Amino acid sequence: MSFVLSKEAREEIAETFLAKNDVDFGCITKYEQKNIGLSNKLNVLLECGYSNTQVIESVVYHNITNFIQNSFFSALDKVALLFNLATQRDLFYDENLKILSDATHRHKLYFNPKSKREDLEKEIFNKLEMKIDSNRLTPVRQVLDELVMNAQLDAPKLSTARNVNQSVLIVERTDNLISISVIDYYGTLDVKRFLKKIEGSLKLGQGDAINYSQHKGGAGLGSSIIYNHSDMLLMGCKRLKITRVTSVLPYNISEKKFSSIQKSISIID
Amino acid sequence: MNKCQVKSVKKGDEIEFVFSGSIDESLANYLSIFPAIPKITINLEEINSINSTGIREWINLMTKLETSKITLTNCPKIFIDQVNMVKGFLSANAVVESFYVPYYSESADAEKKIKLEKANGFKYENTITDPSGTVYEIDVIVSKYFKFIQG
Repeated sequence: MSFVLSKEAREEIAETFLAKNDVDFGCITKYEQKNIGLSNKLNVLLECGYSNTQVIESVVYHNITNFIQNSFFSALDKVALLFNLATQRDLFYDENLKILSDATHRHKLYFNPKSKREDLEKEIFNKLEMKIDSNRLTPVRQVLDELVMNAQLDAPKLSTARNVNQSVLIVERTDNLISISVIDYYGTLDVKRFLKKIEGSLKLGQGDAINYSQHKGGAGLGSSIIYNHSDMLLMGCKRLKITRVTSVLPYNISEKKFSSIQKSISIID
Repeated sequence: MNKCQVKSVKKGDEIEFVFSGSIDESLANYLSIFPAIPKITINLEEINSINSTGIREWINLMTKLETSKITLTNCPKIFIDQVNMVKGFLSANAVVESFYVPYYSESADAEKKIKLEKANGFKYENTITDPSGTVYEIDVIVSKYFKFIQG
């Protein structure tokens, strides 16, 4: 499966978004990179053919906060979403933000550290009208489980906040994509640390392997599971106030197609 | 996904432990029920999910049972995926006796799983046809999924 953007598609993205300089939103393709250069203004890099490790490295070491590739979740839709967020970044923390503009299903559920994840998952799959025991939905179940677990177990441990009552799980579904978001009000996610752990797993484990021995904490393994299954990962944190992590992934596709995903990462700062 | 449950069934001199639900943090509650005996069989037929804390607890279990010969039966795809990805998930004293391979029919939008046995050399087919004539294709990347067999 090829996700190479046509010349026309690149031009459409560039024309649609480059012209709107008033929002400090730069968008380039690799064909334009030489002319524009990696200036401070650049906050979106539109690329193609980057490996999972290269994407992580670009974000962690080259200060590219929005690394976008065309994939099952199209580059145009990704850039449109980021363009929307560029003008009002707080929108990212809004429970009503639509990640998938053409979603046919959209649901949210509130939970706390004592909520039973198995009940949450059953309810969400029921609302999405999806078979929870389908082999092809395993990535969806795993991402959902890890995101909820981060908010239930990890965030409270790292937070000094004592009056946080509930977090929220938001899911959206189109005919080929699912978006899973968790918003918590602990605000403890260290995005760079999160990404470095994934990078460590990708490098030390050689290829797809997750090297457990290098990561004693559950968060490192969990981060890797989330990233490995995601088409696009969006993350943002306002220290000690709020964290949102969103994973967009395709569903009901073969493992071969799944392995062709070109990953994208966006850090909403 | 239901939390992890482990039941033990005595079979002669050996004990079979039957796992069900999700291998997650709740597996820690069962570590004490595993005795230090020479042979242990773990039946994973009813496991439907594994999360990151479950991976850690499973490796803790393997470490605890390092003096036993462990036979793993009816391993679902989610388990084999971890075997292939996580170093130490399948310890040196453990052997997979049987595992499942998923198949999918695009035309019927239906899934099937076929159990492969070590006794049959884990022989598999790329496609299978059910009695109604529906053709199912193997739904894994073979080189990746069978990596643990090749060592």
